[in-house]
Amino acid sequence: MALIPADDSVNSIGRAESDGVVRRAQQGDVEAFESIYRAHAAAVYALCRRMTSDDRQARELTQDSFVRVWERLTQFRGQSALATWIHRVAVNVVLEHLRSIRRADAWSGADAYDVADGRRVDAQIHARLDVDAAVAQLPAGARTVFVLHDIEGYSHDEIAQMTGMAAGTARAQLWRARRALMRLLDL
Amino acid sequence: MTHPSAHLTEDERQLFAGRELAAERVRDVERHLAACPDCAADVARLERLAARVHDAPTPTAPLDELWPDIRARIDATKLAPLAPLAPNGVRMTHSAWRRPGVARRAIVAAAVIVAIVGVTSITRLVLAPRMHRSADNGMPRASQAQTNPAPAGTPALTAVADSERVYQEEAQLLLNRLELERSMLRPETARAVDRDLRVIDQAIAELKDAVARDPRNAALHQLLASSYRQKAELLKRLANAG
Repeated sequence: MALIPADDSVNSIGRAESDGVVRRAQQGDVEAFESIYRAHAAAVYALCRRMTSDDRQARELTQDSFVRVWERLTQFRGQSALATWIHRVAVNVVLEHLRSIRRADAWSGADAYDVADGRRVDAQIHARLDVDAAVAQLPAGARTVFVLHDIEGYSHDEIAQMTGMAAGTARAQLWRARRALMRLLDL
Repeated sequence: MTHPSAHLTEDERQLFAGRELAAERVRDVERHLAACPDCAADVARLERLAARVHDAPTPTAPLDELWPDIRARIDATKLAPLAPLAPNGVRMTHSAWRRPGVARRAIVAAAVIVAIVGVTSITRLVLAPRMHRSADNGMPRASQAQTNPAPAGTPALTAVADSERVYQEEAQLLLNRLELERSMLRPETARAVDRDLRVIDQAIAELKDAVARDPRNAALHQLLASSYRQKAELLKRLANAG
């Protein structure tokens, strides 16, 4: 289910890299960096939006991600595709944000799967129509693992490394996230 | 699945639905699914979820809305560290600027310093490399390294050029604000401010002229950026004093 990059921006990404835009951006050319931004921002925003389920936070985190990409662009050596590298930077930015705001139950989230919770009824009805709204109902930890694995295509080991969870814990979170989504989406 | 008649485990169902089950296990699981409607139905639901997620539209990014703030933050990080043009004595505390006459005297002092440093630096930066070339090979001495032109497009030159643009824009904004508030200044103060700004602008003009003759000289760009910064700081202090 890996979706990196998620749309037809592949061509523009390829053009950006083949034109030496990365090298110019590494030398401080902001116009070159803007073209990198335009080629990759959609995927980064989608990642941020799905991991936070909040448009305002997603916008801020997208901006934070590209500022960090700019700051660290000279460290990009081309060992991986630029899209992969940028994506990893963005994941780290979002994870840092989530860690900074996480509540005590945010990452374990055992009780949050109780879809009988009356406060969630309206959201559940809406979620049956919208995958993103259903994903938004997941507790942060489960949502993070689900988005990273089932949408962004990271392996269990990579997710464990990025989040600091044990691989087994990350996998268990994913199984539970899928089960919760099946209920929310009435599958 | 410890026994052919037992149901698949959660791991087996999830891994099979996610196409992650080890290849040597796939055949056994397929055989079980063919014979077990419960497990087959559950795996089918998991596969429907995967398809639903895969087909979900990607959130639309507001690219044009986000870029200006990113650009502004990048510009802020790109400001090159500029050597101060004025001595520390010119830097005044905020309260000092509120005392009558202090602000104007400091502006004049700084302006003169800017002008002097500007002109002498131009002379040093533009002429010195030629004057100090070794007679034998025409190469500049090591002592000239600081003023050697940076190759076009180097990070240092680009960063300084960006700083130059940022401070120039800031100074222009402050000047616009000053124009709006000019009617609130006493006529003699307005005249003095204009005179001081002319001195600074003259220094800047000379530096720009030098940069135009030697556009790859990073030190000249840095000096010009510093002059704009100095002008912006003076205008900012004038605004605060007002």
